[in-house]
Amino acid sequence: MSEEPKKVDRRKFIYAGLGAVAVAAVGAAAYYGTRPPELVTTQTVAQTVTQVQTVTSMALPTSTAVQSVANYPFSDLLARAKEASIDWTQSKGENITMACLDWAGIEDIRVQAAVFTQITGISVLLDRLPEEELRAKLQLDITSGAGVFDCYWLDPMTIATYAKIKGLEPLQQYIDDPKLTDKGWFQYEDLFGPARGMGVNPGDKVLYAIPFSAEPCILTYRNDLVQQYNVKVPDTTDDLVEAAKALHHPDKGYAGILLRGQRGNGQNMWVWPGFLNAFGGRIFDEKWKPVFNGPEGKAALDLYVNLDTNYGPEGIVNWGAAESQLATNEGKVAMNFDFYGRGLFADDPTLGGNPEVKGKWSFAVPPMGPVKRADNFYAWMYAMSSASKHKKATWLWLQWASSREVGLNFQYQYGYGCPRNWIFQNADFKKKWASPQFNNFIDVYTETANKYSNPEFRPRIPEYPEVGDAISIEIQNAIAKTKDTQKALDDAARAVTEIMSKAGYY
Amino acid sequence: MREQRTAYLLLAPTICVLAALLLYPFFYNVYLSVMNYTVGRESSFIGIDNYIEVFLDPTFQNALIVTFLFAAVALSVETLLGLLLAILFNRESKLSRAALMLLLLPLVMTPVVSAATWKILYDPVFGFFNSVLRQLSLGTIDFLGNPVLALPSLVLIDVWQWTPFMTLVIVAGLKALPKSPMESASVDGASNAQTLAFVTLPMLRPYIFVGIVFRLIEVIRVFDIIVATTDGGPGIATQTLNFYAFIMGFRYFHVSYSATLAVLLMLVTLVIAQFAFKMATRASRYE
Repeated sequence: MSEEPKKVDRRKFIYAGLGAVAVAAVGAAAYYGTRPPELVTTQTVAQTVTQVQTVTSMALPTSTAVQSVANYPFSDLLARAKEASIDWTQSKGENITMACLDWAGIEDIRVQAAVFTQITGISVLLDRLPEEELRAKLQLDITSGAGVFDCYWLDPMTIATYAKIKGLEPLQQYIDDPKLTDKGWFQYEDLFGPARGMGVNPGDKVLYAIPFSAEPCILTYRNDLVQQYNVKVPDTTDDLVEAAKALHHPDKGYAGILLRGQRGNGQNMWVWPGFLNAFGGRIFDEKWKPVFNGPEGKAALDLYVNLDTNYGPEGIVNWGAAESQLATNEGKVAMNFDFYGRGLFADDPTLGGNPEVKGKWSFAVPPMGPVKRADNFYAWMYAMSSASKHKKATWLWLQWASSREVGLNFQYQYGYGCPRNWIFQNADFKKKWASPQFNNFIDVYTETANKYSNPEFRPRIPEYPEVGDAISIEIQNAIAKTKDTQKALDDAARAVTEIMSKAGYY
Repeated sequence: MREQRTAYLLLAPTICVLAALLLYPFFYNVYLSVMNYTVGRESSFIGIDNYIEVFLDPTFQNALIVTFLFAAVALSVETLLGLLLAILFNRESKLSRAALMLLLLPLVMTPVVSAATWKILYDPVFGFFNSVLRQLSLGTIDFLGNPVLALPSLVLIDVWQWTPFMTLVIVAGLKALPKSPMESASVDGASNAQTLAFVTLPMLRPYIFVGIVFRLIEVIRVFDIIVATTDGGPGIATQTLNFYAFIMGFRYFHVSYSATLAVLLMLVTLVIAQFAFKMATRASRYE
């Protein structure tokens, strides 16, 4: 008797099919993952930078900044690089890794890195990380001396800590080395003064970082509402209260003002110290004793709590950077005293801006307190690891990334990034950012960044993260009305005294 | 004997790797906890000073209370709700199976993502819940900004995400139970409720305890929800032990203090897990 042919079992057929798909997927990944990147010159726009396009990833976004800023196609960037009297290819073949904050503009930095690779032969790997993870990974890398990252975006408030353990590479030696830096080309002094200042460690006065950005706090306000309610644009802290009162209409969907309430040395303690300084107060005296709970501090916190609780949005006690941007994007607040880019990003639909409030954001310099204007200032910094095995290559990258035209290409797109005076005087840049759409942004920003910004508006000491958090917790308690302002400040002062005592200050 | 030796030899590489990955970090952590290492400062051996300091630290005491409150409430609700859902969906029907599949969706979501989504839902201005409250003219509630409501609001996030886990464990238990005791009870005239209370639940106890033990170990270490929503606030109302250990180590650079908190957290978890295991073992001895 002949045997019946074996029928294909349905289960086995499905398994075989899945197995074939899995093998094909692994094979494709291996194939495309090992192919070298192709060089593609885009043809669609008249003048564009030559982009490096990897076939496995999405096409690198065509940098609209580069398209729009007609002066800087790749050939011009190459020509500009050749003007420097240094050999850009001296570290050819080296690979460096940079850890940076993951946000919308990173794709443009990736394009610039690709151009840098074309010019120097040094490849730059960008490791994009969310902020908390960036901080944790940097701490591990620097404290262990592993040198996984050659360079990074660094929070300048941590420079004092990392400099103390020699985790950061001093940069002045690279700036002064004529083989590595053409000072006339790089123009380090062209970077905004306060931003440069943040790269210097207050302790040993050594330069450890160069600025990626310059971020003062400015007042962003809805010009349509200011006109509608016939409100004076605030110039003083008293004006600010009056304006917030007049513009506070939660029934119509917007609050008077937004000042961050969330606890954190980079949240409400990013905003409140500016007011403290405006009232003539400070965090510490000369002997490092906390004095922010004095009359000036109380007045500053009374103002802050009054604005937030009476004229702020519901839920402000827990609002940080993300909510601040969201509320501005959606036009849910009439005024916002925060990082200067709030109104700019709110105007950009690609960054989440609601078209209904496009063009309605205007800007004012920080309010004047009894003593001075609020002087908040921050700058993300480029820093180099002392454990890097490619220091020269890394310096060439940092120099390139913060150079004029590269910085312009980035700033043009977002209004954020390389803080150079040259950029703000550039005709193309002004054509866009001084246009009626952005109202008075350039004037207010440059005035604030150059005249009122103070890199030491918060003490840049290794203990600051803990000190800042201790104060921020009590500020949040005051906003949440679980403590009155004086008690909150006194409790904060007690906590800070303990921190400083344990740190050996007294 | 020879076979045993071969078995050990074959297991040795795995054991070595596991030992390196598990034991070395643990012992290094203990070592750090008896030093006074803060990044940027000289460190030296200080014995149990860190442990004494921790026990006297009011922030630690607050964190301990917050952690236990969170764990107790979350676990109780998840167990009860999980049991109810398991009994509801323990049927042989396509609808039940489909419902169970849908129930698993929160479980497969990344905890940080689900917490961030809930943060938006809770928001007084942008959130869905307050939008509904406003529609019903009930005003707004600041769920995460109110020191009293913040912790229960976070418990709700944990319950939403992890109740399906308890449901799964209990459903597995229900399916593994023999049918005859229930059938006998039914034949003897017991109602469904009586069968459930006096026959099914006692037999189900070991499975429930297994679920409790697994969840207990996780819920005591709650972290993602805190970071993605309140960051320990308002004030320190939602600052749990694990979160406190994290900020001490990674934000304030007090590595030794953070290691001490981590060791204590581990010991607390071990003790509670041991206790829960004993309860589970006792519960499994039923006739």
